[in-house]
Amino acid sequence: MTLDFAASLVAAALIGLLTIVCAWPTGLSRSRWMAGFLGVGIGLGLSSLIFFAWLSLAVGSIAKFPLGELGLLVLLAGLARYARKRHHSRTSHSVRRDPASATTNHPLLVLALWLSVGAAAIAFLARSAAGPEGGWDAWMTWNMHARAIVRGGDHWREVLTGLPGWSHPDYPLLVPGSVARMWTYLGRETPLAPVTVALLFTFSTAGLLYSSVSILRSRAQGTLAALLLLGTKFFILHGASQYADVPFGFFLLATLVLLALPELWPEDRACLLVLAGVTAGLSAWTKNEGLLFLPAVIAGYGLVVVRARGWHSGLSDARAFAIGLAPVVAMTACFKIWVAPANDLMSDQGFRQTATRLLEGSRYLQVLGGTVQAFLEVSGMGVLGLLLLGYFLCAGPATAGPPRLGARTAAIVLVIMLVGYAAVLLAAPAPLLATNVRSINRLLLQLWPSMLFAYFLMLRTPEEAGLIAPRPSQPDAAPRGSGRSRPPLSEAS
Amino acid sequence: MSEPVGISVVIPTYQRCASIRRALEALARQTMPAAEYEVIVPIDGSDDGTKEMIDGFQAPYRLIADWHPNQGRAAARNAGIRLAQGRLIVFLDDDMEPVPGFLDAHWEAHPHGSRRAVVGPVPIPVDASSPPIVHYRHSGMKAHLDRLAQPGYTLGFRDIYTGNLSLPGDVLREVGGFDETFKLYGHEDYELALRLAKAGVELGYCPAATAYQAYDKDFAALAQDCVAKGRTAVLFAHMHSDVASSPQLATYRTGPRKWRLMRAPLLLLSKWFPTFPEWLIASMTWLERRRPRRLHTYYRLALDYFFWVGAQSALRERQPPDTRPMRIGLGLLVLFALVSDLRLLVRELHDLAAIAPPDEITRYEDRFRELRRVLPPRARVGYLADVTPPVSVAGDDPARLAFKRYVLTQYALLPTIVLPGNHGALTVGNFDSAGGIDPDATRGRTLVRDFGNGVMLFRTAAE
Repeated sequence: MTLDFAASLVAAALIGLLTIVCAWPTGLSRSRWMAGFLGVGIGLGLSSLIFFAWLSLAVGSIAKFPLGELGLLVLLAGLARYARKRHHSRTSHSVRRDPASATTNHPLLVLALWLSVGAAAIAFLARSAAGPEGGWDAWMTWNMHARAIVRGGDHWREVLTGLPGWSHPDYPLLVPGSVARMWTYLGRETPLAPVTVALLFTFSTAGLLYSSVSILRSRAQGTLAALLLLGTKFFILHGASQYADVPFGFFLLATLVLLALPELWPEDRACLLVLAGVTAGLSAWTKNEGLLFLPAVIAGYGLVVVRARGWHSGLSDARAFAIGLAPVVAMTACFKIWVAPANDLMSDQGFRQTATRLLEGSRYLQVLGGTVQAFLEVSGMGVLGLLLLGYFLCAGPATAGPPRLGARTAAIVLVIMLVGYAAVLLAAPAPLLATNVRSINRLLLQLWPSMLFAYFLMLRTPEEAGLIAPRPSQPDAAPRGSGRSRPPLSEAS
Repeated sequence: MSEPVGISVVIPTYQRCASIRRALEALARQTMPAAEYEVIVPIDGSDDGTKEMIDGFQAPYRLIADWHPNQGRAAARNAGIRLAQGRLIVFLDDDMEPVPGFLDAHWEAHPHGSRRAVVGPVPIPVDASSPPIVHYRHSGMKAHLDRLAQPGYTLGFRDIYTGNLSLPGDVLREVGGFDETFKLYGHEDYELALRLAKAGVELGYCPAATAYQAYDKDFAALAQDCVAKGRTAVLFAHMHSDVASSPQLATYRTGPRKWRLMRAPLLLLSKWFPTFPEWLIASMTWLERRRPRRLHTYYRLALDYFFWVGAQSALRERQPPDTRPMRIGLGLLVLFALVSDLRLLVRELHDLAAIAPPDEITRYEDRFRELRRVLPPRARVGYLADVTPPVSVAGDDPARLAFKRYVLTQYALLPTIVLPGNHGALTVGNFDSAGGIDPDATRGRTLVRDFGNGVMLFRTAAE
């Protein structure tokens, strides 16, 4: 069992890493940590997609899936090798490592981070040991779907779609697919699979936040961001509950990170955008909220890039993004069209009914109240919110060379998402409104890693403020943003 | 070596070719004989053709153009002083148009052997077509000149400006000329005047030595000047901490309370968002087009804000940044994260230790193990329980508990689909105990098998 289990994990991680190498040949050379964290999430997402394709196309017996995946891995490895060779033959310049890899961090911050990782990991495992089947929604929805797929055998489609409405059989299959795929490898159902999927997504999100902020701003800033995410009790508990919100949050963060990186590595622009397309697509394969994220990210990034670089650049970016997005969205669309029943939020959504609901003042109060309550819950009774506000006032915004387009894109996308969530809640049919208002904390949690990403991207770093002396070990390893800021008004004249 | 002259007119210039031409033409119309004065134009790095224009200018007086890289007004004037041969040096700004008796008036204001520094009026002419900013500057300058012209008024160093100033060359060289650390606009004149006053030089005003100022700046340029003035005010105060600093620098805590309350957050915003002053300039430009009644008040407030933008930015550069608040904030964030993690860890370990029985799902798996073996997979079966589960998860404890039990039953029995009420031929009974079943609930159904633990399988009678 241990070998099978390890094989399922290694296969998923390899799928992710090889996909990264195929789409972004210099990715591993740029930053192994970030590529690793991205690879885990993308690997789990793509492997569930491959699993769904295997089931849908009835390629063969479900028991033979691991063999099929092994074949695919060999193919991907060949493609990755070809992509790297092609890249090396095309470019003569050496690959610039991420600036953070050449700088040192403050030892106390490093200690705090390791303490935090340790405490969060033990707490996560303790919660998982106490409730290995996860929280309410995990066994009612996500793990139930995984069971339906595995136990349904050749008839998985009928079993899955036959589930009662409260199980939401229309929900996308990234999490159930990942769990069912692992059970298929193992040949039996065990809570170890959903626990592992949840663990990987929870800590990959923190790792991705740490590595991306470290690269884009500074290592101390990245450490602080990861510390605060791991210190968000609701995030760890929710991750351990095996819900799909944390994986969804991972893909949101991954997309925004990949859209911010071209400012640092412009020569990798197209590669990064292809991968951003993949992660954006995987968000829609994780939760229905991804269907809101897709237009939000296209609008947010489009707005920023067209304004900054013009239409021509915007169109070429859109092409690269679409290359990554299209296959994943096509598979999601296949599921939605041919497998999933109608969504309960979408039913009873005529124009007149929606307009009537939107005109009800009490709904706004209800949503506002729910939002305040959710914010208090996510931010530790608001303490973290106040601390973040206070820290912003003390540190001030980034004064020198932050990835402006990335920060702007993240901020705009997050605002669109919040507005979109509010609109969906306000337009929801009456019986669902009360339930959904109680779930606002989860909506906020989905955005939380991305909010921290945007916050720390915009904020002055401890290195810039002189709190921590940057100690580059290489001459070209100055932290991001150590360059000259825009001249003051008087000097600009 | 050329013949010595009485007056050397020094006009530093930067990128104002047309203006300097007007000034040179006005100086050609002086009542003083042209042989008695010279004009020196230190060109402070202009690349707009000023040098070529001056080289080709047919002046009746001796005209010297001296181009050097841009170093600021103080350095440009010092370059002019070094070239000057006159007993008296007259400083003019490049946008001035002196009246014909201008040089005579300055000459007469300096009797032989006197140690005086004399300013002449620099009125800004306006007409109906002048932009509102010029009207604003006109009224401000008029008030200032009226004050200087008051009988018995004693000039202080803050009344001196170098746009129209004359003083003996030897006195100027004695005090060391202008301080070249002033590279930006403003305060180099106060600084010189202060040193002149300390050296016992009398400060005076000569109404006849008029030079009209052709004011052509827009609001954005004026705002830039104010920012520069704010920066040089700080430099001035730093150099001369023994005297009261620039008048404006002392007004931070004076003025209307409402404005002070508004200015503080505006300055904070400018600190955080470097583009904020540009937004304000754009807003003022928009306001100028609408010409509201209180436009002059808005100008005053906005220019005061820009002065403080410059002053604060210079202060920040001079003082070592106070990193204490950020250090405390950083510490609090780290502490919060660690405490939060440790509290969570303790709670979870405590909960883990407290759990004795297996989790609910494992219990349900055991409870329904036998039933699962006899149920046809993928069939739809009905569901009966002590409490009927609601269709929604919302509700109070009993209803929610009933729903939870129903979901757990479904979870354990998959791939058989369990639905409340009658569905298909079979109905699953999920009761607390075998004995306590309500006969009404099971009416119309035939018991197929009792599993002995409250789990029963019924066949619907009609089937």
